[in-house]
Amino acid sequence: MKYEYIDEGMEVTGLDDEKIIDLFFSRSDKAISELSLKYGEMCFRVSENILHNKEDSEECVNETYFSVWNKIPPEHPNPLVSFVLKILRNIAINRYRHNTAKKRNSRYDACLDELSGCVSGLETTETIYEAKELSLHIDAFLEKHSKTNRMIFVRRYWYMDSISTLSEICGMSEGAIKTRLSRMRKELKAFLVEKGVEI
Amino acid sequence: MTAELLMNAIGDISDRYISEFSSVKPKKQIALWIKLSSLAACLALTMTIGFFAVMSLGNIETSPNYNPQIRLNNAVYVYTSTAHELPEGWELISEVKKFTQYVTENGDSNCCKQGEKIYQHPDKKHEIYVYTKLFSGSDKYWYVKFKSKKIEMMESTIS
Repeated sequence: MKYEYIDEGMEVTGLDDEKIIDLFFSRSDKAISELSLKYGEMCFRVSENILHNKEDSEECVNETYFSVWNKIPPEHPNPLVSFVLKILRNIAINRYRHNTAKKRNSRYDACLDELSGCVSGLETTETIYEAKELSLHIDAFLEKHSKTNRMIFVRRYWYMDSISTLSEICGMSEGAIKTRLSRMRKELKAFLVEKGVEI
Repeated sequence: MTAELLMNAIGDISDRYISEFSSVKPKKQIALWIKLSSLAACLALTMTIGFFAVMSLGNIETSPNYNPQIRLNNAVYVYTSTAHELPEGWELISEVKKFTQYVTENGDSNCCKQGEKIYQHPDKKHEIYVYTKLFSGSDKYWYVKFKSKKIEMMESTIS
């Protein structure tokens, strides 16, 4: 399947995010159906990227809807899409860890393998603190990159898109995508060292 | 640090980046034959325009031309103006040999009739007068001035 990048402002069709959130606040059963209508396909794709399994992915998406139902209210997320996708990504990764102590075959593993070049692989004690601090550094790292590079990095390591999908989205060869990613990983490593992060 | 920790950290990057690149949709692919036929059409158009451009620039004398002109001494003279009398110093040098659409040979004209007299000043080789009925609006003869094409083009460029 071919994909194309839709720039900001070209929204996915469906109800306004604000109206969907209003439905959650009024505890309307339409809230989930509207959320599903607007972001269901996107959620499923991310989940499928991580789990590589249709049934598990559908369950994760449903679990995500339930989690969103429980969190809104009191939360009033803006933007809604990243709020939903973050919940989904965590659920899918946890499901993946739970399912597969046995086999390693998803894009999650492929991404982990690629990123292992950026780190030492040694466990540290301040894990939670480090993850939060690291996120801020990664934000800063992404900030200094071009929009295309940022998209490639985020779509690969956040959405876990395949290299071939990225190549189609960006209109570049797979080799060019791999080269960019490899360069960015090296730069990320150097950036983190420069920021004093123990890798 | 483990790759998993790094992955978790990436999972918690700013919402801005997540929503910025959240929307991807199936792309409507343009079929290969459409791309190729568009390319072929563009190529054909370019070649056609190019052909006519080259013809009009490089082969003026042999193309049908509706601007009044006469070919003489291997130069093409084009219509400039008219006069009722021949100025002093101009001498009869030739006459129109053939009235034809294509002015390919000396003496050919696409406006003046066969036998009409051609005059030239010894010091003004780039100009000729033809005693002709051309543009008179009647059967009356008068003198019509022609300038050689290069001179005409130079003057129009300067002006």
